[in-house]
Amino acid sequence: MSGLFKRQTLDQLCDVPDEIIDVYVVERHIWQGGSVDDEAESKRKRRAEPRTVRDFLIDPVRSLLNDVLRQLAMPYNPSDKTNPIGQGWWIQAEFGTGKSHLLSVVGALALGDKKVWDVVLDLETKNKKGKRESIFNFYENGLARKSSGKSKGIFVAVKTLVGQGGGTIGVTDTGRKLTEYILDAVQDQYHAETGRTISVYPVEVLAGRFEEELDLYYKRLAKFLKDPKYFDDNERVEIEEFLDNLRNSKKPTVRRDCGQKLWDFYRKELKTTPDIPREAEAVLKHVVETLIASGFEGLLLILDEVSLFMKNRTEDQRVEDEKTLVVLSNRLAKTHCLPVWTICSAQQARESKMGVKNIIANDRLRNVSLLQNESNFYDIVLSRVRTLTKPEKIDDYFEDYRKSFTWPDAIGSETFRRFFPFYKPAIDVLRAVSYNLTTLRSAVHFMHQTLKTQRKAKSDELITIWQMFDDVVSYEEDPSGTTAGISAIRTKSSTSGKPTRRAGAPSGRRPRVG
Amino acid sequence: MRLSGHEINTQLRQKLAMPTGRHLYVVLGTYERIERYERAAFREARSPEDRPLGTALNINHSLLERFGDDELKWLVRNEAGMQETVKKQLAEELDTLIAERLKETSFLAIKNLELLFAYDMELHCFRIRATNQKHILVLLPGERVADRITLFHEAPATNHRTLPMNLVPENHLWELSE
Repeated sequence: MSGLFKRQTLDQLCDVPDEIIDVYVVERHIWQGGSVDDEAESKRKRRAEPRTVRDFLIDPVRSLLNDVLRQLAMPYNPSDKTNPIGQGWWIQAEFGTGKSHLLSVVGALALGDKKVWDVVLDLETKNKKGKRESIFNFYENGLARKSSGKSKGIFVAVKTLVGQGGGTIGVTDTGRKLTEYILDAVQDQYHAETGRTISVYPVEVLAGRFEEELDLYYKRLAKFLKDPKYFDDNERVEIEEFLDNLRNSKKPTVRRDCGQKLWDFYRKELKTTPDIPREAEAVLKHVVETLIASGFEGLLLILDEVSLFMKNRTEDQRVEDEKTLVVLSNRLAKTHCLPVWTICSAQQARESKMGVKNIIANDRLRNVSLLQNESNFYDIVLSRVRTLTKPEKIDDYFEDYRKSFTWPDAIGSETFRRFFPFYKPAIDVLRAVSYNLTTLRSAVHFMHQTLKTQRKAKSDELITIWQMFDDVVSYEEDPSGTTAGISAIRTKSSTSGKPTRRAGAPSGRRPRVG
Repeated sequence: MRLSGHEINTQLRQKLAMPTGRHLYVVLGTYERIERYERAAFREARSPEDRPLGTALNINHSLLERFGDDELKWLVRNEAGMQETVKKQLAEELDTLIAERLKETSFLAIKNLELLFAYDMELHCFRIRATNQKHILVLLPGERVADRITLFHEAPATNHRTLPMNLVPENHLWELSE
């Protein structure tokens, strides 16, 4: 056979990423990564991680992204209470379907980093999206303006909630409220971004305003701080040291610790309660208003793995958590018309315990189910594992394979090209076998590994199920939080070695040409 | 799952070969069993590439070593009066410590985490860091009773702690049987 008619090999036709990020963590994949110092620098400079966006397939979630970005990009007019721009979303999908990746992308885009939006522009141009269709539109017509000049951009605070809690005596969680986790996330991010502290807890607010009352209470406070009735030996402190900490510390928690002592001073010594609201709504409203006052365009709060977190909460805690979500998504966003966007991800649909006040609703958390369209699965896995560099050369494969098999004609050249260099039923088998692993993550891994191997081997054949199968049967992994039973497939046949080839599937044998 | 030290090594070796997912593992046992496992079986544990897994990092010591003298004095002087601040500072150093160690290696075994529990610190930094081919094995004194994992179970009940649910899945958690 003449070399002239030889098909080009897979390494000539497909680019494959060296490695794939298979677990996205919102805390680590929104801001540009690297060393610990690089991560800190990225937060300070609001640098988003380009790879998070580059690896993402927009089309399967385009409607959700349109919805979220539209709200984020809309101008905020504090005096206009008729057109709220805030919104909440409850994103639900099985584990391994890319929820955390999606959340990371939204967070990265919300930072308004031009470099990352250039990546979006590039992706959208390659996908032949017109100006009106492209999500880049939201950057050009809103987010760019919100992230430049005097504006500090949208404040992005994130928290992965699974595994929270240090494990206190007798309970499985520290019993902290969801509101407290949110306040911590905001405070940490604010400090990382600006180097300054923000008062978010009521005790911190008290610490902030105590200066006005210092003259009045100086002597009594000094006595209180040294009183053995209230403090152990090593807790007692001189008032000057206390005030120095209160005024000069750059650590957010010092203000909280000092504020807690002041709060105790009011309650125990002055026998009164400071006139500072402690309800979740008032506290969170204060946080958002403070952020806006300091130049941010609003608060985007991203909470990952919320359903798993709530699953292990007591009934009272769960009701309290749900109230917090309603406060954020409805009371603040819709009633007070504040620019607050809350995105929660969940593995399960949330059955509200609040009776008629369901947390899932258009004016609360808008429900979004991911990966409902089967076709999206193929698009996502294929886009993650390879980029076709010479699509026009795929026709050579199609012509060769149709001479030996009937299936290429049955599916047509367009479908053949779409799945190249994989065989669609092989992906279906892989998907069926790995379904109880992680819906998408494991399939991406197997396909990526096999394609890498075949590229290295300079294969000029479609990838078969057998090439992927050895990895599949020995695979097991830890999903986000579940029992072992559903996450392992260990049924490798010791007798047959490899499964029997299905009739009609490509054999891996090179079709004869001519 | 109750296993001998060598059986845990076998399980661990299989897990280390898993290229995707989360990679946080916990070995439970009495202080004595944990110590014996570390001294004997773990020393023989091998990676899928047949390389030794190194020694376990003492978190109590490593964490405190990261603070300068003045800083440490400040923490000691204020640990009773400024609990949140001390806790926060320890948490930040812990995260940095884990991140730095995982930059150098893809597997990290850790032991002696009492300080974290004494300050009621969050453990989720292990879960966040143990992903994308970075593995963390935690040696923890504790036992499983039904669904709950009680830590420091040999101590008086007032000092017991529980491992947060969902931090580690069942198939990544082994209890020493001997």
